[in-house]
Amino acid sequence: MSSLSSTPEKHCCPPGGYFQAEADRILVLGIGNVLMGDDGLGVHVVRELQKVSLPENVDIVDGGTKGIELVPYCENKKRLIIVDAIDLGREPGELIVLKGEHVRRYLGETRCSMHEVGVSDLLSVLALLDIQPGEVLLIGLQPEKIEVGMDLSKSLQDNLQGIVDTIKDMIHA
Amino acid sequence: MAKIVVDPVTRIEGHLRIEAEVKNGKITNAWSSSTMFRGVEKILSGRDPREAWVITQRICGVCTTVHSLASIRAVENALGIKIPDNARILRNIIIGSQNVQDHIIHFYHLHALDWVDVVSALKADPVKTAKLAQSISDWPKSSATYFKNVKNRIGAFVKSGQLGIFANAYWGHPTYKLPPEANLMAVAHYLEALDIQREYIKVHALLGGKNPHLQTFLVGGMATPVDPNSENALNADALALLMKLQNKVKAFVEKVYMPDILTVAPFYLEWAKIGGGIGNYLSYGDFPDADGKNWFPRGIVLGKNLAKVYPLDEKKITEHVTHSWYAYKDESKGLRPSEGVTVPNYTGPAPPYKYLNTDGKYSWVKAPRYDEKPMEVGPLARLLVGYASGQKEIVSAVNGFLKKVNAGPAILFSTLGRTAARAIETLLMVNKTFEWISELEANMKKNDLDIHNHKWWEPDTWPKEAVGYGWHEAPRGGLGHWIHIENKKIKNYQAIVPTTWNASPRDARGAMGPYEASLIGTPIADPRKPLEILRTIHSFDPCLACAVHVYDGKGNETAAVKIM
Repeated sequence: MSSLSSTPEKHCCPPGGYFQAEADRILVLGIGNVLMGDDGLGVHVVRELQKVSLPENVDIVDGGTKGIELVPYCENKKRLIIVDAIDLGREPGELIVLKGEHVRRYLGETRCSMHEVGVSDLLSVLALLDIQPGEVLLIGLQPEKIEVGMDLSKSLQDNLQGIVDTIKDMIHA
Repeated sequence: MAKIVVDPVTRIEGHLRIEAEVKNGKITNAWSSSTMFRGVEKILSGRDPREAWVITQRICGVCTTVHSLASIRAVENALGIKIPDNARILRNIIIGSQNVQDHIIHFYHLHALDWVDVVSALKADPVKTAKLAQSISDWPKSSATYFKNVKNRIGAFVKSGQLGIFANAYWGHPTYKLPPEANLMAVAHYLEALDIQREYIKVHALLGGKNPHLQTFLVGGMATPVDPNSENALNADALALLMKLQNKVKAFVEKVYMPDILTVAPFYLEWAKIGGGIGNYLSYGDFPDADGKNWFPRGIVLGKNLAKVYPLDEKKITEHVTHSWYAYKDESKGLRPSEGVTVPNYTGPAPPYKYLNTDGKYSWVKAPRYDEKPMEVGPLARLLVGYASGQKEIVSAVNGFLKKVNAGPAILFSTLGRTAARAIETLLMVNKTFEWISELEANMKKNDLDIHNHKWWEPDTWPKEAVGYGWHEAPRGGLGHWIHIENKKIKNYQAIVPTTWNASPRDARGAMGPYEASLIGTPIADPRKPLEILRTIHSFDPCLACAVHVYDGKGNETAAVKIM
């Protein structure tokens, strides 16, 4: 954990970057609760993406289980790629990509987790303020189990690199 | 109305569910339950105490910063670590601005629509709306053209079927009292509050890094360096930007938020007599000054008696589980959090179920008690403890408000009082933040740039065993973390979150928790549309998505709705 280096890590980040609203920016937003096993998938994926080199116009944000607090990170992006555990009753670890109307329908109908309410509100607020991203994609894996714990189950662990690679392809597309 | 099924959820804070009995148009009994297990404590045991805050900030999806702070304070308390003055000031600025931001979101986005009818706003005359808005403040946006645009925007949004945040509401309910123009004004301010918040959130980026989860906390101080001459530190430019953001939010609070409260309140004066509930108030106190004295004082007010403040004794805090889904060896009494155990013992019905067995255990929330009494926490508790303590700024702010509404302090013990207290407190905190920024500037001028006390950083310097607690007045109320450190690792960890106090079920003696008590006697105009329950429960700012179930006199469920 970065805060535990023998001398405390110092860092400060002047604003900018994530809040830049240029029309060509892409945001990859990881969503989920890292204390609840597979539910934390989005955050695990984002942590992997933070280790690799990505084009300058791409921002990576760990959104946790927040909702409308994420508005300033998402506004007016060219593309918003939301990464989350997606429960559609498929095989655990199966890669799922939802686009356009399917994103809203999934968030609106299933509501199987609290943070999906948060993301649904986030998208509503972006629409209401007329600062919607040009395109919204939802990508994730079918969770195996969602229970207290900080590790992904094996079926998700095995597919982690696959989803990271898919997101990298999406960024370059 | 179709029943909304409450699934097991993944966010640890869980769902809130209210079951209420209504007889002759009034609530006669109520039960507050969370249907989601919170078991984060077991994740923490065995870990390095210095990393606890990184984990506890994920306990709750909404209130991340507050759990970081309570956690590092607990470790610092256990190990006897004093933090540098700059760290104290930075923490005050962060938590002050967090309170301000949360209160604005709460009022406009989680509570206002209990009082404001969006559908009625679409019938408003923009010219009359502008007149009304101009009569309450000189906010520059209040023109007829502006309100006409808002009306069109909302109309189009509703028409497009994207109800989203406006869904699950009781538009047209007979207890909505505002004229269309006041509704339109409030809806316009709802949108402005979203705008303000997306701007104001940058305060946290300045102080804590561009991350929705602040990275700047550190046991022993802070990680964000302060240095007027460094590009990579909180420097003069950053402070100037901070001032600019503070001024912006101050104008909004003074010219929009507070005037809105004062405009809406007179239409709902009966709510100054409803929702009072327990009448016991607890505040841990917070915002220490350079001498360690809390700006918001610590104390207890009992039985709505503002003539006396009792000192807060940590040893008198216990948690009962008689009606909670946990097991204690002896459930006839509570346990102190420092000795607390979290052993789940679910005895409730297998989902899907219609009702909980409220005679037995019925909630995943424990029942915290102070000196065996239930306590309300939150902005109202803080203000009442401050008011009764004679804290000058608080007394003056509260009296100023009471004078404007031409009433005495008794109106504060209510649903309306809770909502007003949040606004009064927002104004106090917004103004105080300027003082903290000045303190920081003064230190920087003296070249005092110290932000971290390294002395006890290495675990080798720690005693074999240490116990401590960290208290913080979070937006929703008093938050406490308790830690037991042994051999450099966490042995036991317990948290009592504000909503645990307020949403508490009954205790060993059968005494109700604050939500439960606050609902008794509340008139319900239409049991199928229990808007009145939402008003009171939302006035506490529950940190849960909720499911409300209302029964008629025969015990048949008449409505099931979700509180958002």
